Amino acid sequence: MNTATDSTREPRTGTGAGFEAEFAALFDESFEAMRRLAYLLGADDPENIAQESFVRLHARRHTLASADMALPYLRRTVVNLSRSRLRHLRVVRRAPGERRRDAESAEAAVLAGQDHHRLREVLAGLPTRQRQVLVLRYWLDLDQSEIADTLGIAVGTVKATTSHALANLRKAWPEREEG
Amino acid sequence: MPDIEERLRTALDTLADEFAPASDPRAGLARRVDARRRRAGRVPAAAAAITAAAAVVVVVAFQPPSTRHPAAPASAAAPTGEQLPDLGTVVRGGETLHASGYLLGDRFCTVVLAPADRTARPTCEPVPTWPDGQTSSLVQSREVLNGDPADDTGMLAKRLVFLTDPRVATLTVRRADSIAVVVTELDRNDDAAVFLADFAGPPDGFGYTARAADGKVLEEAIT
Repeated sequence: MNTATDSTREPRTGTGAGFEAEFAALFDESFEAMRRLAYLLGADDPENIAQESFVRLHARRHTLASADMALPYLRRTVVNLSRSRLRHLRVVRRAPGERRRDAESAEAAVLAGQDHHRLREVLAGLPTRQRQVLVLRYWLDLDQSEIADTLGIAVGTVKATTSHALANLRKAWPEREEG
Repeated sequence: MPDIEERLRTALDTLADEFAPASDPRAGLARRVDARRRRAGRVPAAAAAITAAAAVVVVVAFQPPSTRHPAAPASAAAPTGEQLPDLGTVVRGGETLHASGYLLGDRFCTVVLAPADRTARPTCEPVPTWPDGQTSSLVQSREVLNGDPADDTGMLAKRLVFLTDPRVATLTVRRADSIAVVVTELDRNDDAAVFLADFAGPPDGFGYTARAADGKVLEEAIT
């Protein structure tokens, strides 16, 4: 269980030592979860994205309507920055020679039959929105309303996207026979 | 056979757990926060210089800073499409290429998409740090791909990109002869919004009106 859904320790908005202390607590508690969220969403620079998300939260603390907006704001920022980064990567990696080394090692793992590495490849092949929904639902354990809020879409769209994503997953990620 | 959802949970947990923890994330955060503060401290002079150089007459100022952003983080929706926003078609030496512009965090990138077997190299620039005073603009215009003199059709020379503060929800643009210009929102994130205006001719002089989501005029100007 990760801590990114734990909303019991979130900072007050505003300024001063109180905010700084609670911001630091939130950072300690949630930085790794945000970094791993960016990683699972397919970003190649998850640490940078997690750091940038916290910097933005810090800079925009005045704009948060209430303290419990901090974690949802972080999640939205990580999702948006990851999506933006992936889109950029699709441009700069159009040339076959620019494939990353870790993609090649992931392929080797796929051939070796490791289930979670196979999943990584399958996720990379899904439409971005489907990947986001799966990661938010099955790794962050967000409910449909929270996912809708994070992605800025309707709850009905979340349901439909989850259904399509699972259907695609069943086709592209068949279970391997043991032995 | 394990349920696909349970299998997915397990595999995602395993993937995440094999990702080694960062070595010193707090130091990285402190550096970034300091850099952001230094950058913010330079804003007024830089913004004033930009405004003066553009010879923009700002007619309507905007609300006090404390009331301007109430819902910005909560509604920080990003474009849902996976396609790159289209700036137009470029014809170079008889070859038709597509120009795109998109936001990458706090940078605005443009690229001419060559055929798939060639490398595409985006050019990125920082988006402005939008001002907090009443004398600086929330809207900046620029030529598409710097006018791209290699564009045989001249399509891009008839268009302008507008980078705006993310609070700008709609942008209307008028030519010097008062005819409305077709404006398309290309991209949006927490740092900026990007609009493309097609003047159907040389964009010599124009006016614009930038509005918030509630229709309130944030800025109106004539160049």
